[in-house]
Amino acid sequence: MNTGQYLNRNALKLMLIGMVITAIGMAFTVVGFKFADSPAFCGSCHSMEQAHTTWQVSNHKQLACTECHLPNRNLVEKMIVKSQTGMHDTYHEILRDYPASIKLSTKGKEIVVDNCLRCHQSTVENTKMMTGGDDCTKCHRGLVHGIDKNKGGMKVE
Amino acid sequence: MSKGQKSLIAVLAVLLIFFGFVVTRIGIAKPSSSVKLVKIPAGEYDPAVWGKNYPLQYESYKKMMDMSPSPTGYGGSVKVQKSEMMPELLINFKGMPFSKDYAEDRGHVYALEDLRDSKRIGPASKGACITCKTPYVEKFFQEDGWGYANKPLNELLDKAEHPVTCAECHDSETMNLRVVNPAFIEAQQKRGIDVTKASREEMRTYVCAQCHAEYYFEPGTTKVVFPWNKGLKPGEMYDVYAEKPGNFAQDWKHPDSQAPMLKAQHPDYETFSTGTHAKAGVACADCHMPYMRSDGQKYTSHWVTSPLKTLDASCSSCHSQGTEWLQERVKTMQDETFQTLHAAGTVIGKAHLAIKTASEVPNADQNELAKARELVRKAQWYWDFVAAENSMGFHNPDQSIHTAAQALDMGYQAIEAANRAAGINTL
Repeated sequence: MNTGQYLNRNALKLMLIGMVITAIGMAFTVVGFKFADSPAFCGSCHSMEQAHTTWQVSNHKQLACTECHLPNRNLVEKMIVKSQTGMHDTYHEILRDYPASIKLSTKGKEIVVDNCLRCHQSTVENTKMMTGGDDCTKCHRGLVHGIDKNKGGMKVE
Repeated sequence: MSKGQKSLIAVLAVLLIFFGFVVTRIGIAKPSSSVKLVKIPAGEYDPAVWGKNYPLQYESYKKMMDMSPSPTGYGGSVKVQKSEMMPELLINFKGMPFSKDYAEDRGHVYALEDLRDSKRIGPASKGACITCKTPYVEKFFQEDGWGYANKPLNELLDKAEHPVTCAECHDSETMNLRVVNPAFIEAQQKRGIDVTKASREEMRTYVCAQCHAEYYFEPGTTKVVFPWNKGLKPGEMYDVYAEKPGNFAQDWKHPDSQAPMLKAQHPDYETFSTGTHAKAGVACADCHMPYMRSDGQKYTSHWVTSPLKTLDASCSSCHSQGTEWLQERVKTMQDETFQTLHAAGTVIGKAHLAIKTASEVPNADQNELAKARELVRKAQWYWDFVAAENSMGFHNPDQSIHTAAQALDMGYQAIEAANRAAGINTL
């Protein structure tokens, strides 16, 4: 029996298997994507502990990390940036070479500011802020994660 | 098994190992978020014993052996004579030990060595001098109370095997912060503060404040006393000294002006406590012992030194302008404090000489001379309050510049009074 014959005879069975695998694959992707988009996932890294706990008690706790820290204007851009930053963060999480206080990069700040405007545009649209290039976090710094990124210290137990 | 199957299995195995490693490293074998408590026997003052159980803290503690200059040029951990930068010290401290040897202090690990080597110390030196150099002071105080302060220093130096170490600030059973200097505990009591009830955040300042503070030796007993009962500002402490507390009237008499002088001793805590950082709730340890990470594990740096040497870790958790900008700000504050301070110190030196010259004039006005001596005493206290402090103004820039400027003003007033005493009219 050659491959052609095999495929012909089992077409229905193979299609079914294919569909099941695809369905499982899609389910995994959707669940995986949802999970990777959740604060629980971000907070599962040791380096993100501080960011995660401060966010939980902030006045922006109804928003997920990715709603501020990833571009949300279109899905393709979001996925590209997520892949890039995800690999970057995983790399350093494995090396454990992150500093005691983690700062936003220039690109990261642009993304955050753009996300501020997604909700708060109407607040600033008649002000000088809208001429562009302004940085919301210059004044509203520490809004979510606090000014002192190292507050809390260590437990001796 | 075909070649294709074999390579598929190989690829899968590599992927499994790789992602298994990633998941284990990130998700399962995480760096610890807390420090494991290991009890140390009470009275153990050897940092190496503690260090076996707290290696990250001990490794950073040992960095205090580093002898590097300060990045802005003020302070630093190099043993140089302060008079190289401020020659006026030699004139203003004439007739007292600080004119013989006034070396820049090095790290805590050198506390005993530098005490032994100091030319200010001699066979007549009293045990009180060891108060801030070693946690053995706990033992000495337990055994003799303040009696230790009046013993010969050399006798206590022989018993003290370790300089400022872990036990100075940590309870050996719980690792909680504690203070051992009885002078600090008593001074806080007088202000209505019970240090045993202090919060952790307050203790993060008190452990430093127990030594980085102004004090005097009570005449007769050599007991160490902090003049804090009226407040922590230079004027408030001067008012305490004006009342001759415990019969303490002066540290020495200046040989030129014959004025009864005071020597300020590193009022770091006092200066800091009324400054902007303290008012914002910052503790000494926040900047001088910043959080660091080693292999992902967060720990408190025990390399107690100028925060300019750990600028990113010390400042950047609150200030986002970048290290270059921050260091430039610190240098500006220090430069401008230094210039005012240096001018004040120089004028005070001239005032001592002016008073001397005036006092040699026949029929000099004794009343005006007394005023001039009081002015030069006060001017030098204000000047020394900033000069003896370890941050060249940074701990409280506005107050420090103001204090130095007051010293400058009073220095000129002293010269004017000397002129009046000599019957010279100046315009």
